[in-house]
Amino acid sequence: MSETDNRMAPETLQAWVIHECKQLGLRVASGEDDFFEAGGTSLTAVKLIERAEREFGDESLPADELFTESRITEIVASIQRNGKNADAVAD
Amino acid sequence: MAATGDKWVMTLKAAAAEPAGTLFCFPYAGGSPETFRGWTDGIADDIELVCVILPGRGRRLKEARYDRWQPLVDDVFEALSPHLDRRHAFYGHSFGGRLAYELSHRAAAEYPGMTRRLFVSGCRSPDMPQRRPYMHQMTESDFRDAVAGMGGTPAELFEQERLMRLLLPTVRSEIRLAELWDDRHACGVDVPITALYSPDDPIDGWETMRGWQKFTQQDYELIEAPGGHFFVDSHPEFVTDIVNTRLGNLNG
Repeated sequence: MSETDNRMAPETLQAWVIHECKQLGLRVASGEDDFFEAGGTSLTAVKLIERAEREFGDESLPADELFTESRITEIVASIQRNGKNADAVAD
Repeated sequence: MAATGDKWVMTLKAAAAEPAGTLFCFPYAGGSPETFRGWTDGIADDIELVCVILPGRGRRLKEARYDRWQPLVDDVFEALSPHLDRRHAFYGHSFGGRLAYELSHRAAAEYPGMTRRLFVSGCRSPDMPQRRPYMHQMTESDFRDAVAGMGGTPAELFEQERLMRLLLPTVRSEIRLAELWDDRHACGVDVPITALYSPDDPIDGWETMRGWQKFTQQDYELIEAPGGHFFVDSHPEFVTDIVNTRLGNLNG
């Protein structure tokens, strides 16, 4: 990816999280929605963590953070704190 | 659904305009609202479906777990109290069945007539001895094998070491409470009991559930369900049919 990669911009990242959650069958629409109240389970949590790591690197969404700060906006913040900004390999 | 303020309860299905009552659901050890979310299609429209959320899971993952029954029952009762002056019923499976029974005692004493029925499934009666050896005393690897052997945990979860380290302590602590639970009341509960068991349940089947008859002062029934220990997950339609017909009484 080039330096114009803006996947970590909050709006873009939030759209990505919401999209992935919907793919996992959760009923989320906005940043205020809660992962677990929207139907998230331990298993869907694992899948979201795997997808985040594939996209943003290892440990980009630590399980203990997802479980305790589970609103969409909080998940976005966690990935911003822990994820890698750009994918050096693909540049 | 947006996050709600009350950490103790999660409403899985709102009732219609004229609710007949609320069904409070108590999951098995380490369980989640997911079990009862599978009931939302089958449950009658006039029943509000609510799952009780204990510490150590979901958003409450980092909260201290209970290691004794009394404070657990006290705190759950206090948390549910604002909702218990209306018609309601309790459904608990396995560990959750024990907790639902304890809550029925408290609710029936404080809000007479409002607890319309107690459903217990996959849960020995208070007088029956607990299976041995105790799982909660096992080594970590034996405990994992035993949990896997019970069958309620998706295999994918066991492959996630970090997640298992987060989740298993809650499973163990609630299994410990379930294993150490016994009869702590002078008499049965003043609430009708519907007990459901599966003949294919290796943990608590007919043999250890028929004793529930002695633990109610009202009517009692014991119903055979299909599936194994986790029939609340695997056979939601069977269970919601039973619940719907029994809670027709909520209207009366």
